[in-house]
Amino acid sequence: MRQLVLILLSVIGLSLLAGQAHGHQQKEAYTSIVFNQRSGMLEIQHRFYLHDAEHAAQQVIDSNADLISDPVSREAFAYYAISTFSMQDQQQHPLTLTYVGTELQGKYLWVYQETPITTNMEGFYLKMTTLQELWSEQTNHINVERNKHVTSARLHIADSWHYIEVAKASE
Amino acid sequence: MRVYLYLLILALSSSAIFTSSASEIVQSKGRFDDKFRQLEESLPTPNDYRNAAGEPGKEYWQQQVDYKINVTLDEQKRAIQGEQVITYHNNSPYTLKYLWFQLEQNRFKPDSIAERSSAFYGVDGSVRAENTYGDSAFAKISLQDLRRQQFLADNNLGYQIAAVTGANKKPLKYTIVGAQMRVDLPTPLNSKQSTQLRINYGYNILEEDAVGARSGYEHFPDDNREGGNDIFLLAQWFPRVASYSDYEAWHNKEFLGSGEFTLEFGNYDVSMTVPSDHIVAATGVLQNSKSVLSSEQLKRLDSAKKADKPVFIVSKDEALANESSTAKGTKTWHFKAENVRDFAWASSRKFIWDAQGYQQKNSQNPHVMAMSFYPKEGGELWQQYSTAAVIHTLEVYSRFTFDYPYPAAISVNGPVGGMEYPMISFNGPRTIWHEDGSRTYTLAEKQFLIGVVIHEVGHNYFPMIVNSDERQWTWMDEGINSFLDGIATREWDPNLSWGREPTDVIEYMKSNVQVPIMTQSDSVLQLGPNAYIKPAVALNILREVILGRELFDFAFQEYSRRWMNKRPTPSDFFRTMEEASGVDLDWFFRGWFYTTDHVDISLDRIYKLRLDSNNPDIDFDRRRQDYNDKPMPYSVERNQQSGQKTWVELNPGNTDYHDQHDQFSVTNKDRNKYNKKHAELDPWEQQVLARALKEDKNYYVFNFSNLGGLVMPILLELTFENGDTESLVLPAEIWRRSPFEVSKLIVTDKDNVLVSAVVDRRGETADVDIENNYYPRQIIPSRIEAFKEEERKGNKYRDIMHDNKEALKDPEIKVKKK
Repeated sequence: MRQLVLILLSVIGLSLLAGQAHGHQQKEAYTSIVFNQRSGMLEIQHRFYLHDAEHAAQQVIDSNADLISDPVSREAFAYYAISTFSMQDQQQHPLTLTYVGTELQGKYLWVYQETPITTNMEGFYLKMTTLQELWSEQTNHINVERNKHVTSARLHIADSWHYIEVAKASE
Repeated sequence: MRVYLYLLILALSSSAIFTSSASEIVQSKGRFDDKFRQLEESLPTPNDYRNAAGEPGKEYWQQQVDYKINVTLDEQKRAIQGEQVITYHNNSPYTLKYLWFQLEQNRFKPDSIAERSSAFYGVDGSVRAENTYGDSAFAKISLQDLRRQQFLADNNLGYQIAAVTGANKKPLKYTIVGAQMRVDLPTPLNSKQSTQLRINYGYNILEEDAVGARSGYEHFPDDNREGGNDIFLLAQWFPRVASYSDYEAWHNKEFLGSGEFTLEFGNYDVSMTVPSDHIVAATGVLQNSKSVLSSEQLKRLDSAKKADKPVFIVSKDEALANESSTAKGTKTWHFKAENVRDFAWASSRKFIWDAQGYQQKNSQNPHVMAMSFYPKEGGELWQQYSTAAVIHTLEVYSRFTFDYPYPAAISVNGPVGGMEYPMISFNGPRTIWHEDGSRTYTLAEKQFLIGVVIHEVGHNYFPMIVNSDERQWTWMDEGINSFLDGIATREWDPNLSWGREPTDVIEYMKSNVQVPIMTQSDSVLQLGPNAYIKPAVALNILREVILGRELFDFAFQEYSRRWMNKRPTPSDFFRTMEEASGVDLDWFFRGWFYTTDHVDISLDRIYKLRLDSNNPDIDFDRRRQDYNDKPMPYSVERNQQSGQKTWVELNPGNTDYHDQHDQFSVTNKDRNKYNKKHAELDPWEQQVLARALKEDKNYYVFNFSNLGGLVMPILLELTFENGDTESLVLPAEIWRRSPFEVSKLIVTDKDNVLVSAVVDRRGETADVDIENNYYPRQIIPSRIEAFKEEERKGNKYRDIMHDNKEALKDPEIKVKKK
């Protein structure tokens, strides 16, 4: 814990983080949780702005982290991201998510997870604190999509477990 | 891993109900949604100030406010003391009894509307009342938020107004209302008259890293100077007269933090007294360079005017030496700026300063000085790319709008991530320091610097010159500017990951938590996707898909030039784009800017029609062909395969008329009936039929549905049996009478037999679901499936920067023996 607090103090000492929305650190990540009926998997795709992710990696992992050139930094960021995202079923039992991988695409860094679709997936408890511990304005937008119906949540620093209902399978 | 401090806070639930203003005209029966309803219904009535074409009307007016300011920067106390003389020119047709001022610094007072109304929870009230178990009962606050709270508590913030007087120095009555101030004029100010007043004021400068205020100081404790050094970025640093316009009168929308600024044009004469070893960058032109710069610096500045790469006015080594300066005393830097809507400046002894002239050919403003000011922390990254990006911005933006009218364009590195003012912008990206004293930067940071400089310098055009109302309509500056920065970054390097592409908004646009673009800035839920990316993508689609470059660029330039140095509103933009392009875009602006619909067009089905000739000699033969083409039932096929003979085959002598003439045989009765019918046709009907029969074209009916709600053109690509492809655009107007489902007949030549079709194959319209764009359907692998299939390998994924650090080694050769 002491270690973590020290990390955090050094984080807020850095100057680049205090810009606002106009400051072009986007401070917004998009996560899609999609029922892929074809594969039978619930696919979780986190999309981070590369530039935000790199600043984060430089603080929580290594000040030299370079996400474009260094796959090790990318993997490290991906593990940080999945460690700050969790899902529970309707009974608040944790869902085990399998890490699939990470990749760069243009200005985005993607992190993938998945878990098999089971019956009674009518709602989830979600928690995603990724990047919020670094800059409090971070919003993590989550779309849960089944049969083209999307329900969304926007998770802010003040949020804890957020329950989101999944569109009915029959719809 | 938990890195929060936990505070016990009562969890409150909140819910947001989105309502749109009710229309006077209601579809009260049936399921119909008029996506093409006239936009005029929603726009303000044209008048003599802004006309129906979207241009300034014959009676257009705007106020002018001139400022003469003497200001002192107290480095020790980190405070500003200023005296300003304001000359207010009332160009409106109305008499004014008072002037309203914007006091943006008051937004940081603990009792401001902004502070008191800042909610702890997001709009969708993520913590619900029932979540009272476990750690759900706890809410969190970050150390960064605590730092902000502490800074606000420890410092006396906001303006201290010492005196407000008239030209005769007699005190004027003033009333401070939050972050605004009303000054009552001693006598009403008539139309076409001017008045002067003076304000003496001061305020304590915010620490930008602690509070986030688009300006402030940044402290560098590690510099080789007792007490370290600061960079000061000064913006919203003087009481500014609020805007008074034809459409809003006084703009009394207090600064809440998100919606930026609505300002008047005017001339500025500003003298800043700063520590003698500081370098100052500011809006405008330095008037007393001989008294604040050395002769060497003057010489360098002169040589920079025609240089083909940036010239250092203050070099890296000189700036490093300045960092440990102990010089005493002050210097006064004097700047003037004409016809600008704001004034900002920066001051520090840490600044490296480079400059390069930008020559505008055939322009009334042939010479612009592009400059960058940055500390060693910006380093080589800034040296390489800042001033270069400034010049690139001017080149690209001017081509789309008008010649850059100002004498300077400046990029300053400080604590602000990115913020724009006339002629000067603040940009954040920096290098990484290493223990050996070296500094490097990543490719992502390089791309970000170039992107952010282009964006912020681009703001000179929108909203600094095309002076839109940022407080209310953020998209008019951020959206239009993001559209152009996308063009400029693509022209810099198409691989620069900055451009605004339709795929960028798909996740946002399909989400059910969003508000229309036409929402006031301070009420927008997600400013980034709402005010920057979605309008930028919309304009990109308007240019590349709907209008084409020629029509779009003409209309866009017309808008820019009509409103250069004037104040446009959204309706002026919408009207100009329609009026100058000659294309009815009501549906486009309504859908993209006034609703939260998204694009999802599905190609549900294609079926083929064949012309029935009614001629039995043709049709019966075709029917026979169809019958014979049907697959043989297994029961018959397997009998044949086993060698079984049928009764008919075994009795070949036992045949009759029906064995010679099948069910598709044509009789004379049929022929007589057809001939009679054909003879009754008019000659033109006979001709049409004859030609159609001869050509024997293919008739396909396409069924589309609009699942997302947003009407868009249907970009079709057809693939034929012979391998040819054909592109076909069905204009958005196809949805006019049937907004949810529509069918289209497409006729192709006899040889062009359709095998498949796809809608928007290149992903140009932000269609959120690709799978239903294909007919016949194709399996589109999900992102994760594609990732699993394809090993991401190749040169692009090599870690060249890291791998190249490895020293060259002689190979270890093992001794080989028999």
